[in-house]
Amino acid sequence: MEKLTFLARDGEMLAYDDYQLGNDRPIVIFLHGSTYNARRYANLAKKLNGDNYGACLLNWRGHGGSQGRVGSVDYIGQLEDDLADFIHHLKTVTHQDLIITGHSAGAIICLRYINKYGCNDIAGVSFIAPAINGPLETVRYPHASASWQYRLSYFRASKPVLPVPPNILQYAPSLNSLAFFGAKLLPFLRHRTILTFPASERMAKLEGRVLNYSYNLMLSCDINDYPAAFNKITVPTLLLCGANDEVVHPQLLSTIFNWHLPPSIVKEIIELENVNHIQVNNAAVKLVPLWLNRHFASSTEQTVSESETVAC
Amino acid sequence: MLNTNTITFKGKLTNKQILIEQLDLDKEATITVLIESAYQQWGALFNQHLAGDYIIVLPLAERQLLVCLSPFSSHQLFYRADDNGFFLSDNLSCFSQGATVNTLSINQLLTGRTLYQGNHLFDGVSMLTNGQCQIWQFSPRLELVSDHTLTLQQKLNSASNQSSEPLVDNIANETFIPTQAFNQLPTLARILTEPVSALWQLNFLQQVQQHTQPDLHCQQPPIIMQGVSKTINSLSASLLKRPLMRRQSALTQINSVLYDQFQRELDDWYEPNTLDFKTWLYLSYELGVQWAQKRLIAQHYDKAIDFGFCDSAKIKHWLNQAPVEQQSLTTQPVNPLFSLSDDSIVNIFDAMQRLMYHGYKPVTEKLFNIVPPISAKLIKQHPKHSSQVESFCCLSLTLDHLARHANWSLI
Repeated sequence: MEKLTFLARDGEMLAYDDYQLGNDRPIVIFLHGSTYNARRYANLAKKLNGDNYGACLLNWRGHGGSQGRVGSVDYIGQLEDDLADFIHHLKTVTHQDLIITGHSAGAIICLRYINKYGCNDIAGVSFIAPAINGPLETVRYPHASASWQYRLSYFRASKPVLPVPPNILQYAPSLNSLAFFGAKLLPFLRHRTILTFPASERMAKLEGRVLNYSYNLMLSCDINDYPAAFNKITVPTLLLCGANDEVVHPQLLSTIFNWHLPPSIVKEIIELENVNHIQVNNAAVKLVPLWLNRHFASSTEQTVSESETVAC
Repeated sequence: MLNTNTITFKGKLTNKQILIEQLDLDKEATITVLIESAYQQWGALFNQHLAGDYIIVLPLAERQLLVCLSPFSSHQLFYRADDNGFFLSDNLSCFSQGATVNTLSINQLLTGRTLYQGNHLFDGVSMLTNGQCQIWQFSPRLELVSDHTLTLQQKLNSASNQSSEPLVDNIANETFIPTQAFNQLPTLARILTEPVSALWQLNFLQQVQQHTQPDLHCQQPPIIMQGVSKTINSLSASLLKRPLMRRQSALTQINSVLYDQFQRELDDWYEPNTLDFKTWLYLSYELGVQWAQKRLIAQHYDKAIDFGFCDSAKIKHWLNQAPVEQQSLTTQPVNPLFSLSDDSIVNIFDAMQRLMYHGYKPVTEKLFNIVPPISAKLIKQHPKHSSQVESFCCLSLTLDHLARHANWSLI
């Protein structure tokens, strides 16, 4: 593994952990979840290498070794632009197929990338526990304010919002509603912290986690019009989630799979019993390489054998 | 697409031995020989003599092609005849990609009726009715030279199945699982290649899914589908946009044309009968479509299906036996299938209202006014008119899904 950097369009140097192998097999570009960085996902990259796939674990700007403002971005949508810059960077140095993968908010950046840039430069995408928190219906445990939001959206009374179980609440980020609406109205407040993730400051420092997010950063890793974005996917797709996920509604992926992903693409959905939002990463270490083997290994081998035939 | 250069027979012929005797053929005569001989003997009305459940595509001399359906059939034949040629298929999905949707057909589905002759989902694509036989001339120019549809009386008096052991119905009333229903709608719509408009379709899908045997025997007697008692627009005014409102008079016209046809058939009827228009319409047009949709669902799950009542003698017996009132059961479920308290992500009512924000691509946008204050008014009537509200939600959502992914447009 090498720690490398590339130049983003705004001149910042963004870091990634490079696990490329130099073979013909696809390379997985992985985006970490919110607060974390590439280091936490090294196991997946190692397993991918074991299966002869290259991997690049990208650090969001302001996270891990990447430059950029910590806890904020210059504008909403800068993270998918960074991903586009990285894909462009890789395309200049390798001809291999690129598969984008993300966990939690990282999966949302992949989705936002597809929504903006399409699928021309990628060969596949996998979403691991995609945390779509913007729309009312996708959230597993609605906020207390969901009742009036529901009434505003649907002009009907919602069913009672149940209190969030205490064990879930201790991991849930807290949103400063006043700061949120302030930032919504006044753009100069959009770099101030509005979202705080609960964690020990000391442990977070050791792990290099970023616990405070601004309005710009929070909205850069969320998406409202997710159906339209999933509609645009034209490459093989994997949806992976745990049944006990604290963030993703248990029916969300099934709804996306059936209603929003185009019927014509090769798509898979895997729901794992007794697995939560973080544990799903351990499962992904096993399942993502298997998914790649099912959809990309054979085509590569076929291409090789065909070219050998031609050479003979 | 079906090949129009070779003879095609799909389905089953159930009076083969009788036909062999009638046509004086060799005992080992193939279906091809049998069909060709039957056509030579009886001409375009030959399907009256061939019992069973089938479609026939028969190339004739002088660049002609015969296409026909059995008098009662669970198969369908769709065709498009235009400057680009003659295209024939037993599945509407062959014509689906980039199709232009006929607004009138959506109107018809909204009233709870199936789509039948003269008004199909896609502009330029026609469908054969049960008992219809057409002969097309391919050169020097493409034209329809013969078109004959058996009257209901002719169908009822057509050849019936040779006696065989009646099969036991094995499509049990499995438990309906509402939590799964919402996410099954897109699959169902794609299987049918039309918006899901009747809730029995969803019920049947789950029955087939839960069924473990490879062969399904549907012995259910015909159930006449009721039209809706109140129009959607009367439940929530302004829900339908102008293209749909404008075509409502056309729908009335279709009904009056059909009623005239019914009266003409009734005038020629030589046996005493108590046939009413609804029953005639159902047996002439809707029953076959219902069976065909069940066949499509079964085929999707790799199951073979046969229909016990797909036989002239049985239908005639059914018609004579039960008073019309007893046959006129509704196919719409009495109890609501969906609940207003379902989680929003799988709540059919919320999803319909969300069409405004998401999905909502050209076709649905031009037909429906699903802004929350208007659509909420409809949903609030769910306790009273559950099947109508649910049917509308299913229809609008699945129409949007199909239109979006198959790139449909409106005339």
